[in-house]
Amino acid sequence: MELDCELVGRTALIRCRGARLDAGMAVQFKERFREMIGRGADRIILDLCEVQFLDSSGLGAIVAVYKALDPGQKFDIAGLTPPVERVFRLTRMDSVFSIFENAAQAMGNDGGSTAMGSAG
Amino acid sequence: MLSLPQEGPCRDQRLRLTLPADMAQVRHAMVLLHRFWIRAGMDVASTEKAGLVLAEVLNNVVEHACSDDPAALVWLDISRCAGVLDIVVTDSGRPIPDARLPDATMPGIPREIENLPEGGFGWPLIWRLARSVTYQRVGGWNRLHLELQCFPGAGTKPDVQGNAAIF
Repeated sequence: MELDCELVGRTALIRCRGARLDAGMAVQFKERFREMIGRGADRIILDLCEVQFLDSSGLGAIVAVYKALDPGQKFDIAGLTPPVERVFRLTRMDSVFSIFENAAQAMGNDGGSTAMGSAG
Repeated sequence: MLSLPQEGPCRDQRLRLTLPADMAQVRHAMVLLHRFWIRAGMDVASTEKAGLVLAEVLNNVVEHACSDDPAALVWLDISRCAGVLDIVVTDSGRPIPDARLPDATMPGIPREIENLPEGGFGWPLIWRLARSVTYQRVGGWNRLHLELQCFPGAGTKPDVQGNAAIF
């Protein structure tokens, strides 16, 4: 599981490269994500547009990296494909995160409000 | 002796697969199965649903039932008939305690970020997406029988027997 990171101002856009974020990739995803966040950003956008398969372990990994962020860092998600969106909806995790249709839309928006309230 | 599912009236799309109870092998098998189901004429949504349910089941087999046995094997027996995908997963791992399948209740979503659940979604997803789930301990084997509703893909021929040859 490769992750690309693009820093735009104080926003880090992290894109998952690969079609499956599953139990076999969960640990690697968490490690790579933490390496990238070490660079520092006020806001992180996780772009999942390439991910066609997410299982409960992959979802757990996303929740884990979110929980590990600094209190001042905002975390948003973009680019859910239909099968990934279904997992977020069935587990009700779609109520936890601000979810944008795509990365461009997320970048053009300061994140709005999340169901969890502001991370800051 | 491995106990295979009984012959039903409709076994024209049947696939049997044996794989090591290993995460990388499971991952590879799931990628192949996705391709197989699409080529065998299942629609995308049914294929994605079946892929998620089976992945959750196999993850549990690898991480729980077979975690202390590097030589453990899993047998899949998958058939599709009249809108139902029938999957039997047999493994040589430890039995499920008290033969009771885990709960169907999705973890709650607390308001505090630090209390958000990072796990516990697998079995609720299986229960939610499968039409029926039954577990038996047969001899020294775990046998999980899943039934899922499935639909044919648009523009596929009803009889695609022989696509199993891609395995």
